[in-house]
Amino acid sequence: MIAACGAETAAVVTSDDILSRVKDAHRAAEHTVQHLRIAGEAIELAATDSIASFLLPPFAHLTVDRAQEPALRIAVAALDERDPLAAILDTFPDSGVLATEGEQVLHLHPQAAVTLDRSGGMLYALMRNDAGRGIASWHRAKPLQVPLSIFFADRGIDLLHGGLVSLRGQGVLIAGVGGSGKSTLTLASLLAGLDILGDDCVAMRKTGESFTGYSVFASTTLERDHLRNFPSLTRTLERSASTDAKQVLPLAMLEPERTAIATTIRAIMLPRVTRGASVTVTPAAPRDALLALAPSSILRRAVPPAAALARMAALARAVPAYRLEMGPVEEAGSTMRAFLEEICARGEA
Amino acid sequence: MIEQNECVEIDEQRAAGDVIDGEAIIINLVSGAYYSMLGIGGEIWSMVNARYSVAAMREHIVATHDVTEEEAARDLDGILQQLLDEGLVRVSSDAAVAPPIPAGETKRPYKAPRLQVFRDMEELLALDPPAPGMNQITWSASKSGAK
Repeated sequence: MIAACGAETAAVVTSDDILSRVKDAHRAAEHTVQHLRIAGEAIELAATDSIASFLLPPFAHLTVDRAQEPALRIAVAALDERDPLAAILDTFPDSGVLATEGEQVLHLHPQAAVTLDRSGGMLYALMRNDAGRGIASWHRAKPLQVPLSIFFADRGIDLLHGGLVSLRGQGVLIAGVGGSGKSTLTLASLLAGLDILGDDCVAMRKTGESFTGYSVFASTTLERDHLRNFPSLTRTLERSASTDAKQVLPLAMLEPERTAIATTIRAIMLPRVTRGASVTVTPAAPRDALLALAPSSILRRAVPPAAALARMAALARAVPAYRLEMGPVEEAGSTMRAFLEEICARGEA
Repeated sequence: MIEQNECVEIDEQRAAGDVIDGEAIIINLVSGAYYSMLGIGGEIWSMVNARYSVAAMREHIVATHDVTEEEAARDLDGILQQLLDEGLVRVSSDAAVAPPIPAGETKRPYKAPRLQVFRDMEELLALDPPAPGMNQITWSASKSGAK
């Protein structure tokens, strides 16, 4: 068992408490079970129905028939606002606090109390689902990101801070610091007819000299100010009570047939918003790709830093990188499409 | 001041680095700053990683580059002190025995090591810090590839 104290209270939250309450909730209430395959790993996701409505959509495109024993079983139940635990969670910072002991991890933040048994492949979570209070956009769009990053890192799979788009199985990773235009370029690529795997958080597995990128979440968040670049998307925006400045975009609902699951990463694109008259693409050095990709991927997630950095450096050495100076958004999308058409043509020649 | 028989070792709780195209890319896991070590910085980072003593590093640089011993020593002391100041390495007396330098090796042009610092992530993390405790997680080498 692992325990953590509230940030401004002596109250203690334990992994056993979370586990038993989630089990009790699943015995007492209807719950939905989905079988997922994320980055090649079989995952079972069970959520009480009141939570399922917001927890399951980000993973909807990854649903499979149950074919094998899951490597991870996730069980989630709703946390009632009147529950004293809710008041304890409110004392934690937005990103939460992580406590670890042996193979047990506890992640407590204002939106959820989560416990992960790394060797047992079990994850239990009590999550808030109070529409009136408002769930943070990052939590709604990318639920369980921190414990999932640990689960994947234990298997040599890295969660990258970047977008990923593809055409006929050939992908381009879109990397850059916040505000560089990753989400804008990813969505512009989607509107130009490319498949999308994610705009902000995707998985990568290195197999020999090849790098496969995977979709993890089919929802994303976008600054409300940036939505004006995509008037055609606003009709499908999720009506969320998020209290922050970001709007959740359910990508799988926007273009369900364009939500891809896996792709071979063939290039890295480094966007920069210039608001110029045209879009230009020029070669970039591998070090530029690594500098754009690694710090934000490693610093915000629970990963083995040296090993993750080594894999990202291997990717930066293995595939070409380019800078994309982003002028008009529509042209940026068509440029990405032409770029991937050329990669596909070379591969098929 | 680091003694000549001492080495500096990477503080793995605080830093991760890799060399790409001869340049070391280093991330400060505590502050969020990240760095590029230019010039012969990639070679120096590799020698730090291999726990060469300061004297062995200097000898290696002088033997393989077109540089005087004085200039190499001054630049090496300066860059190691910068790494220390940034909290990326710590001084250790447990230096490894460096392999012998092959005789007759052609000397390469010398480019002084230089540490380029990027503080954009540091500022972002100061405003929106990651969950405390992330760096306490232990990783299995066989599963995650961790060292």
